[in-house]
Amino acid sequence: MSSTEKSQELFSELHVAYIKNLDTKRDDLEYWLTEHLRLSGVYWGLTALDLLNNINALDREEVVKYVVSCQHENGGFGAHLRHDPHILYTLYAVQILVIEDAIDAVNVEKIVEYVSLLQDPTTGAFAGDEWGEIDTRFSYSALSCLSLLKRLDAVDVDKAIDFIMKCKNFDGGFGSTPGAESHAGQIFCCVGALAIVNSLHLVDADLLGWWLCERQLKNGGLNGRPEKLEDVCYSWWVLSALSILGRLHWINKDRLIDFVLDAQDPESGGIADRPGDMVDVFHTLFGIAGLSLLGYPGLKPVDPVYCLPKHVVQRIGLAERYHV
Amino acid sequence: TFNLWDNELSFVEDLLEKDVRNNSAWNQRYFAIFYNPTKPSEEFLKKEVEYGISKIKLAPNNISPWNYIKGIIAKSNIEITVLEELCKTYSQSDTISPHALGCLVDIYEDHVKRGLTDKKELGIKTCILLAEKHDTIRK
Repeated sequence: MSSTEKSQELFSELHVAYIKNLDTKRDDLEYWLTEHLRLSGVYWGLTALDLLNNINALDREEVVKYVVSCQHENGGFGAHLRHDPHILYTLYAVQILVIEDAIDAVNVEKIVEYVSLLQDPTTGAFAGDEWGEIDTRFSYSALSCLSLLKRLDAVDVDKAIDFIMKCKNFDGGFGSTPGAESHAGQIFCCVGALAIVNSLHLVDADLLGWWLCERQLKNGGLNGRPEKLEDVCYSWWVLSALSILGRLHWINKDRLIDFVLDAQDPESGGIADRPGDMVDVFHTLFGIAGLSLLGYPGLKPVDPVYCLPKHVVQRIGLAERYHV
Repeated sequence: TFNLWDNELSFVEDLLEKDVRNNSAWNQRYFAIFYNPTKPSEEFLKKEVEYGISKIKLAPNNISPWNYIKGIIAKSNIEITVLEELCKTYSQSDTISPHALGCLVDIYEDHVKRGLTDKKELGIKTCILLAEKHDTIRK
């Protein structure tokens, strides 16, 4: 792939085709090696398609049927048929069903029960599954999931906030557990979670905003923490956090847009983690979502807290709890 | 107890000797000091600031020790003005570090907050210098 020609436009049609074709690659080993990410892939693909104004590229009935098949008796969802339930895939399932306006297709009470039982009543932290791994990603998954279902009453929100705040570091950022290094992905999760429960005032917005905008490198791309490489997915994790904190303008927008566009595959569609690398649906979503936040034309607006198209969040009546 | 904390700091020091830019190690240093059941004394924290400064001198454009020192200062009675000399060194010589300039802005802001408004002009000038020459991606 030529790396000397700079892409100046978003190849929307190619990306739609790329996403549509993902599920046809059943002769590829990679298709089966990523079975544990299948449900995630549907969320990433579907959200990207909707932002690209092409949600019907995936058949709604088939999508819903697939999601339903991933629910376990205990209410949680696995990544694919016969994969164990986990809070991450439970969030993806709810996100997909909310986009497709089909939440009635599943047992919502059971989902609420599954998620609420994952909270540690002492620390307020959330485990990922029955095996007990604790991570602020799971706090976000839980609060986002329950918020979309309008059932935040099912957990101890104050304790959940306590735990998140224990993960705040000296540089203003957040880590996965108390004392863990600040990381843009974790920061998105913590800031997003705090926004959902109306607690953004607990964040030192200037300090964290500065740490976040320091992620932009001379090549225009963003990294996830100091001294690391730029990566398109950080144009979501960093950007959404900055957007929630009302400091999106602290980033050089044009340089970042150029960086994301440059990471596209101009022949087969899709976006990679950086220019020249192989594409995947994860980076395709986060590149497009990042472009949407930056106001790139032709894309639907995305909600930085829920990482869903804004019209979906508005349809279910959730208020915008962040700075614009 | 198993005295697991005793060796943590020397382990971190090894990591930083090998690579002063290891952000994870800087974070671990903070963790080893402040999450330690034995709380650090003011004397200890002063030494940490000196340690940080010595590491900044190795690579003034490396942001980790700058963030680290500011974190230490926030948790102690040490004032940010202790960094003024260091910042001035790296804003006037051949090696200009945007972090030094940024820190100077913080210092001037600190001055102004205490009612010493004479530094306000200098603070604004430094910001402009940063935006136009030394850290242009972050206007």
